[in-house]
Amino acid sequence: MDKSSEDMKPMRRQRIIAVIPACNEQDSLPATLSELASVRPDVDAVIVDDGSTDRTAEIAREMGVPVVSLPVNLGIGGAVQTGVRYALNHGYDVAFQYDADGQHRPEQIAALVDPILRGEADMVLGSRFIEDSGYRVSIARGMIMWVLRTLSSWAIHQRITDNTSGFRAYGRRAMQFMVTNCSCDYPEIEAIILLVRSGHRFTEVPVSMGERTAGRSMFTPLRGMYFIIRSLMAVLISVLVRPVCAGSPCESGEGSS
Amino acid sequence: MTISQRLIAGIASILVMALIVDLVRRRKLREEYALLWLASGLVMLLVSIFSNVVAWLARLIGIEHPAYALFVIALFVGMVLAIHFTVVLSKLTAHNWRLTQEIGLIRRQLEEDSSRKEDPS
Repeated sequence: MDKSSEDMKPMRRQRIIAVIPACNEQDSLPATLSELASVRPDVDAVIVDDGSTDRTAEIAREMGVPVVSLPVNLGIGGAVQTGVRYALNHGYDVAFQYDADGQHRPEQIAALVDPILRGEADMVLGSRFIEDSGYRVSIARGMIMWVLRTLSSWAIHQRITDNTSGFRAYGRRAMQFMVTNCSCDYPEIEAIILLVRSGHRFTEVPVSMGERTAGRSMFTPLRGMYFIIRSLMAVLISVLVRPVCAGSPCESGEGSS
Repeated sequence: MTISQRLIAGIASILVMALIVDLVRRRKLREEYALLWLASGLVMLLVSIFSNVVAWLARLIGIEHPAYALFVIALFVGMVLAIHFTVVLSKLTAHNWRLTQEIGLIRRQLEEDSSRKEDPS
């Protein structure tokens, strides 16, 4: 997959950045960062320290990775949006979200960003379920994911197989859209629907994910319930409304494809 | 309503309006929100003066006792105010969110600038 983009020989090598949201990830961050740097030395990274109370920011700085430290915790949506702002300000062509806990594989970055590099998509989602990647979830969680998947696919008239995946890449047009639309505490599902419904091209690529090396999953029963309700609401509302803008005017109107 | 009921209601609404004006005077409350409270205070005052309006309104909605009608109206006004506040809160949250991001990015920019100054190569 990587070879085809090399064959095309673009005028200028496109710059890629990993946006790594991190809230109290001091234990898993060093391994994640050194692995990323050794497998993909051509890819830059930015850590968005989402109000950590541990040494997350210091560790990243010591490893020579740029850190954007948020004074308070904004949640994953706010952290990723901050990273995308950073990527836009620094002129990156592709930004991809990358977990600090070592769930995402650096070998699969090439496949993830390839559709954007070739100009075929504005947003790419790394899906665990296109091919059997051996990723197992509980029956309850599987059912919830199925409902959300079906609803989201219906909302954008396109098949989504894994809309809770955090392994996703954005081209500049999608980045611009991301920063002008304040998408909220659970951006995973809303972001895709809003992007597609405002004329961005979206595609999925198969990936496999590892187990988290440290830290804990955000899924406690109560949070899980809240997540489901919020997600359902997000799907329904993102279908009903035009994207919400915070402060600056919307740029969603420019040349849709 | 009896005279004493009306008197107490009237005094209460005047006190509320006085409190609001005082809060604005001491810069503890913004005018835009004060207006809302002054309006509801005024409604309260008018209702206590022309209490037969309430009786007429109660009959209109189909409530036997004017006092119940008053409760219903008060509850409704309170709810509208509460919705208004959550809208204001949402706006504040959006601003906060944006400012937090900007602080993080500016901090990083400062770091970049100072490290560039340290080794001008």
